[in-house]
Amino acid sequence: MFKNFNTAIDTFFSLQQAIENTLGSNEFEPNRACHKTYPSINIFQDADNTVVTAELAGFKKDDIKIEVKDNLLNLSGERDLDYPEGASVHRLERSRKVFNRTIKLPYRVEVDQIKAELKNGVLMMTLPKSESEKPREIKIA
Amino acid sequence: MTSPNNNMQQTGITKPLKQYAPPTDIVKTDEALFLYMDMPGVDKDDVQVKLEKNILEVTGSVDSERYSQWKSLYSEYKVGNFLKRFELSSEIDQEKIEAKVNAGVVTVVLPKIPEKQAKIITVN
Repeated sequence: MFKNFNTAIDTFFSLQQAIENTLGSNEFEPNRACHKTYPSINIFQDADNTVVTAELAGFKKDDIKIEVKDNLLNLSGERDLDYPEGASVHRLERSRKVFNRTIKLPYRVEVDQIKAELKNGVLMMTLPKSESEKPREIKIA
Repeated sequence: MTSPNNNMQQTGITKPLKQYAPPTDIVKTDEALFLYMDMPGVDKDDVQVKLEKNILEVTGSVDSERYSQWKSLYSEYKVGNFLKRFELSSEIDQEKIEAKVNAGVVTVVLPKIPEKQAKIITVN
């Protein structure tokens, strides 16, 4: 599991996977072609922000909890899967109701300026880089 | 372990979005069949349900434009349109099929033709 830490990106990936392994995912879910943990996330970056998106179809705002501390982002939630009464199951492929994931971000974030938006089942979180993480120029006296 | 998705960095070339099959739950009662498809990112105007002969085709289109301005750092899922096809049995009443979309979940209700429902035959 531990690859060469050649670049910052490699380190980030390995740490990401280590955190997910320790916190555990539902080991008994059937094997999927996609990533094991739910929900799947994508992480993007521009100059000042990290943007994390997650596919959470069927979730409403109140079903999701987002917690941030230093550079750890914790996502948890539960959705209602309401099937008609007396229904029998033919096939179930969708992810089950409950999830809890912790994601390590590449740098600390400005917690007060975090924006999160849930639209049509896609959760998008914009996390601005903390001021203390930005490079500061030091003048020589 | 997936490697960084460097394809999303800007090249100036627009490629057509790939199509993916959404995870689907199929559940039934005596009166109808219910399909639930997870299509995050779609709302009513992005979904099309088409019925031709006995094939039901559900498509959902997704806007990937807003991701193109950012650099991808870590990618667990790809963004693309959705497509799923079903072959309907003759017990479905095709005129009464209904579909709705809510929070990225497409629900399709396929009522069964009443005469074809199972009947209990009383024994004298």
